[in-house]
Amino acid sequence: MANLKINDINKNFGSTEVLKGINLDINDGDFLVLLGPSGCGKSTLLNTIAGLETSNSGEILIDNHVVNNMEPSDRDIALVFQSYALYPAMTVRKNVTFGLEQRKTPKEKIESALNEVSNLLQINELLERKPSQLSGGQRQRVAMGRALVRHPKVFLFDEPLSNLDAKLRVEMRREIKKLHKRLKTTIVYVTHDQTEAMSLGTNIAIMDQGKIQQCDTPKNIYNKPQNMFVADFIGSPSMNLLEGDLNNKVFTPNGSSNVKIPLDKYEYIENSNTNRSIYLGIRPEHVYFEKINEDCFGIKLKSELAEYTGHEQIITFNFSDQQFLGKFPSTIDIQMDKEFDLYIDLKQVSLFDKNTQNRI
Amino acid sequence: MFWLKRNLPRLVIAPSFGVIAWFVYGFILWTIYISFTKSKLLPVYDLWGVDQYFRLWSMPRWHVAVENLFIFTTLFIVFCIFIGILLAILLDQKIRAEGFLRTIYLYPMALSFIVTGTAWRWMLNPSLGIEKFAQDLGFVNFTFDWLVTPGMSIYTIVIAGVWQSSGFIMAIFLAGLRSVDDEIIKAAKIDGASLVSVYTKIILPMMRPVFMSAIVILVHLAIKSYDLVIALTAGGPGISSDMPAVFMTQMAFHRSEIGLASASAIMMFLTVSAIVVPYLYSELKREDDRK
Amino acid sequence: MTENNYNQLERSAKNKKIIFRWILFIILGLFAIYYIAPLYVMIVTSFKTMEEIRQGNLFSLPNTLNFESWDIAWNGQGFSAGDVFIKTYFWNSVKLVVPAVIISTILGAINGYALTKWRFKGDSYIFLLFLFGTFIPYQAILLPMSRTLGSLGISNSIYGLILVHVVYGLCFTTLFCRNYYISISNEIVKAARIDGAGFFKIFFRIILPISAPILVVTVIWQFTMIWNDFLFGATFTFGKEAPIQVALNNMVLTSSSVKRYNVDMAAAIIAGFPTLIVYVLAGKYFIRGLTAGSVKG
Repeated sequence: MANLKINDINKNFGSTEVLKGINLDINDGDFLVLLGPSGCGKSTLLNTIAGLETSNSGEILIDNHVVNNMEPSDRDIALVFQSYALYPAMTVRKNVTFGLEQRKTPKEKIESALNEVSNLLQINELLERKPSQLSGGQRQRVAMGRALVRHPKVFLFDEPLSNLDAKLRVEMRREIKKLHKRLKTTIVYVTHDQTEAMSLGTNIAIMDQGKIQQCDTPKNIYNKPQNMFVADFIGSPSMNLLEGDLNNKVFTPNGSSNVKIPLDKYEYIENSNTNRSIYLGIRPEHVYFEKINEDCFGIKLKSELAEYTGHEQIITFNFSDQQFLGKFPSTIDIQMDKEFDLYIDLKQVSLFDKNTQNRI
Repeated sequence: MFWLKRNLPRLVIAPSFGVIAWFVYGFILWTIYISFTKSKLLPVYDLWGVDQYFRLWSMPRWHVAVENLFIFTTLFIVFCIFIGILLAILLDQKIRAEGFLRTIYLYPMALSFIVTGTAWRWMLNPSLGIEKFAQDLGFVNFTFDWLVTPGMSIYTIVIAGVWQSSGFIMAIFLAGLRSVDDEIIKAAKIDGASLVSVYTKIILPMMRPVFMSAIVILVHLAIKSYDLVIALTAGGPGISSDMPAVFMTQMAFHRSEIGLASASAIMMFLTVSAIVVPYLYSELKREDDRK
Repeated sequence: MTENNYNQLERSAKNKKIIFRWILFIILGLFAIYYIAPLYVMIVTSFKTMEEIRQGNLFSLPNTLNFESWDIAWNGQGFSAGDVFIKTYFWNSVKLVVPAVIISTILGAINGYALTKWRFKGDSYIFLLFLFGTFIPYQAILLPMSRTLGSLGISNSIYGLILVHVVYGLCFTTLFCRNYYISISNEIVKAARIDGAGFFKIFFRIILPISAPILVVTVIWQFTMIWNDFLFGATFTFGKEAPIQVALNNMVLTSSSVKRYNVDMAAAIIAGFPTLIVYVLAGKYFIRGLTAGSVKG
């Protein structure tokens, strides 16, 4: 097991900058998730760590050794691919032991490693089959077995669950989490699915357009997003973002000059200018029908649309012609086109500068 | 009117189907029939039994032809596939001149067998071709007169045939290599496989269907080879590079032995069928399974 | 591993890569020579005089570009009897190729369309018969075809050859077009039928306009096959009606007293030129045709 340091990595594809100044410090045993929309650069970063791509500048250190110019097979990493990439002409057994054989590992060691992994992942009955005879979930486990069997320093996962159906995905997610708990391996995991990211990672690095937007624990990312991209990307449905003006720590939303929300108890960053145009962010689940604590602020809004999702319902309100969502238990009966008294928990609010889109 | 509309597809196919049924299958049946008769210059329709086949197989010339076919087909397949795979793997290495080289390796396929035969006839000309070239370079005792040596002339056909067709085998293997999922190569890299191992242990084993297609096509080409033989050696010297296709034409149109010729033609037909029918059957079954 | 070991690994990896690239280029280069050599020799020889040929060697360049053998190859020497030249036969082939390619391609397209977009009972068996037809050795039909052409009165004529090539080309063209049309969604045809369009209307208005890729492949394939044919030409025609490959072969085989290699080479280049040009210009379609038709079986 090892730590992983990524220092100032830049990568271009021709004239397009794909990775811009990436810095990450991953400790031994961490489970880091690279999360972001398509094209943000997360897979490229993973491939760069693996050695399948080279960076234009910057360093990658595995266990405090610079590995930039080393072949993937010498970096002591393992990669689980989105399409599993199992060797079609080989049996499961050979697929798993291939890497060890290439390293001229002695036979007994190969056998014991294979047994260990087969038992762990329960692929014993599949050993003599070919990949084409396996289901998606089974292939996934074999792919993980191939990675595990080499006890690498860092495990890399490239959207391994994307090709599975929803139910299987949830199951496998739990399997991966259990594995991590048990083996305490260092993992870098790429996904575009935020639920996966939040449930699996000890740390999440959200990427957009080649840059890391925020690298933090799932809790902080959810509750204290550092910019509007993160605020909007995480959470389903997304965080409500109200445009308005901040004057001496009092927020007036656009189009509702009579509404004045006091934000003196908010944790501003040091020396923050408290007079400017901002966005106020509040998550739908922090909107209530009653005052649950003293930090709640009351507003009157008209309900427009209801979406029932099982144990919850999402109500769209009209906030001076801006869309405002609230999330409530589905046991409450909420009528449409009616005005309601709503309460915003100000303790859960996030404020962002209108121009820079950063948290203030 | 409605009947017309409903059966239009069948009506449209019918002429082509009829043409094929008549000119392909009908004709083959006719040839089979004639092979069972005593026909010499003109067809005779009284059945004679399988005696033409006995005659055929007792002729030394036919034995030479069949032997040549065997030698040629084996060497042709081995060299075409070996060179084809080798070139495909080499070209798969992301070379800048790939398109240019591919054009060079493949253009012989665009030429007719006659043009190929003519060119190689010249190259292999004992007194003025490669033999003289090598001698001029200083290899005074170098001889390369296979073209006019009875036992060796069949190998000149191999040289020219491989020259013409190996590019095609390269093309289909290259397409096969390229169809391999990129992630499998990446996984192999991470597993530490050397480039050679990646090809020999992972990629080539995946090429089984391409191998099958290549062999079927090459066997088919080999059995049909008539033009090339005529242009290069005319079956000679003497009959030493005779092949079944040449034999058949000779018997049919120059020796007035159409019964015998039909027998030889049917032998060729059966040989091709023996290979093609199982292949087509397995291919179509796979297509069905996939559905 | 120590820093030193890392550097050593780096360096040896780089060296290996360079050596490997060099070996690669050498092998590829040697093969390129193997493939180019005959063409080069043909071209070079065609421009030499017989003196140069006898004195020089296979690969030497001509002293000057002597076009005489080209002229003789094309026009002959003006003898009244026993003159061999290519011109007439070149045009024979042209008269053969154009109609044969057009007819077999159009029929192949309609057949492919009918077999894939209008399923009917037995259509896969019918296709199978076409498919198998591409594999048969033509020796099995030479005799009956020869007699049929005779009884139709078109033996030893271009029309006879056109018939032959259309008939046997039909198997290939149907195969290519069928494999292509099968991958076009049937929904388009269904939508058109709901709109009231019939069999031919759908073909000409909807299918044909998107058939360019396969038509190009089919045309190139047929053109190459028919232009390069020798077997049918030699079997069913002779003398003045022969197509170009037959004429070429006759010219090369003429055992006149003086063998004129330069004329032979010029004639060969003329005979090979059309298909070669088509290949150079549209080569990738040619390859696509070969692989698509054959590999899928």
